[in-house]
Amino acid sequence: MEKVNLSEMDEAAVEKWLAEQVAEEHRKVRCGEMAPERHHIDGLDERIDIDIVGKGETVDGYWERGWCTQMRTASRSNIDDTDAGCCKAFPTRYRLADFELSKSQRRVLRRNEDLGRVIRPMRQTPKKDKLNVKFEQYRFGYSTTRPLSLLYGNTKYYPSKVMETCVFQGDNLLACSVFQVGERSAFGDMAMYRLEYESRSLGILTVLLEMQYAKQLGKEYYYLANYSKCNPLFQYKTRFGALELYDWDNEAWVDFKDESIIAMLDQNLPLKPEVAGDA
Amino acid sequence: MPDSLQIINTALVRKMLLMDRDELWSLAEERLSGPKPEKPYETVYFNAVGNLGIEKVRDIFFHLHDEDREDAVYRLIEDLCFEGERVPLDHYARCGYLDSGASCYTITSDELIPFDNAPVDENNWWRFDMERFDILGGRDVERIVQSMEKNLASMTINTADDIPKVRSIMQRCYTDEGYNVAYIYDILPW
Repeated sequence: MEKVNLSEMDEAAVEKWLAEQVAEEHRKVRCGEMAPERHHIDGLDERIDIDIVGKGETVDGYWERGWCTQMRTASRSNIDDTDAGCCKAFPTRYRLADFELSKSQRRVLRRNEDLGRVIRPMRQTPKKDKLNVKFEQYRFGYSTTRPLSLLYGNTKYYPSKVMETCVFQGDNLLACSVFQVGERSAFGDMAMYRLEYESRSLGILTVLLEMQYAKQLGKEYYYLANYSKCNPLFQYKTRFGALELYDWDNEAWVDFKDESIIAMLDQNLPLKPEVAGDA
Repeated sequence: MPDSLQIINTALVRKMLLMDRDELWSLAEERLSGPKPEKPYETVYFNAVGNLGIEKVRDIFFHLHDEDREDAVYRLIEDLCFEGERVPLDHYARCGYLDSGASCYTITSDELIPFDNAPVDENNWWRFDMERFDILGGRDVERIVQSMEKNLASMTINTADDIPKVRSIMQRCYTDEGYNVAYIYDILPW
């Protein structure tokens, strides 16, 4: 790219240069040379206040429509913003009655039989906070700005039961995950694990433990937030059987093995009218 | 109330689960006729005795037992098997237990008092009203005491006066076989 010294240009020239850059960016997006930036996308990115108590609504109803629920809000998005650009994202869920362990998942369970594990109401503790900071630094490249105490400080006021899975080796906390339990389903919120134990597949282990727990309680579905084809961090979600993705267009869940999934995953996110119409 | 600790007579819980209706009432009648224990929460049968009298409570208990034994027994366990003061726990106090690997091996209230896994509906909604607690041994409580001593300056719920209380709960657990300590999670019914 040609080097430009903006400080030597007058205001009008700078404005013209910026407009050219934006137009070039739009051209690349349209030609598929580059994924569009999030602010150009005409996608779904919503956050609403929820007031479930007394209205006959349950968290399950929100989860079924692609929402993630927190204490008093629900959010959903069909955009996955990665370093490579934006992709269309789809909420995931698993039919627990049809879910069966694969060979590799059995191995993960066997390999970690020596570890202590417990599922109980979620409580923020210093060990979990430390683990979370280190894990996010590694996984996402930045330290968390929201400690667990902020995220889960008042779990008793959630419209669901907020639970945790902890995995210990002696007194060392190796992994922890947080999930919500509703009347008919469970929702995996987050997981963290010690990086030096990656060969134990502790992230997979906590998902399996949560799924087994939900199945034991007779829940129908286990939700695991969004999946997008282009995000390498989400590919593990396709390794669990009985997966369904939420089809935003038809507001229905589609089996991951269904033929229509390929076309669904290949969908491009629509551009905002002013971007799409720009020649 | 935040998460808390209270002594629980686990030997009595196990006995009660095996008792029939008349045996349970015989045990309950003796206790309910005595002084009402000081507890920071209301209990079903003790309060009913105060308002309705022992005979009426017996009829209610028999009726409840015949309708839903699990519920009737659980309520009686709440009344008869928890003893002494319930001590609330500060964040730093509870971490002594929750951040310890040994917490994976304590049994839970679900294991101590097993209920069937029938899905919750309008007929058994009360199951959501149940408290969840873990059954701790003396060593688990000792970890809580150690954490309280170490973090005394940072604690907001507990004061130095609470340490001897928790230590005495620990001692009871060490010395009286059949007694444990319930770590009671603060969960709202829903």
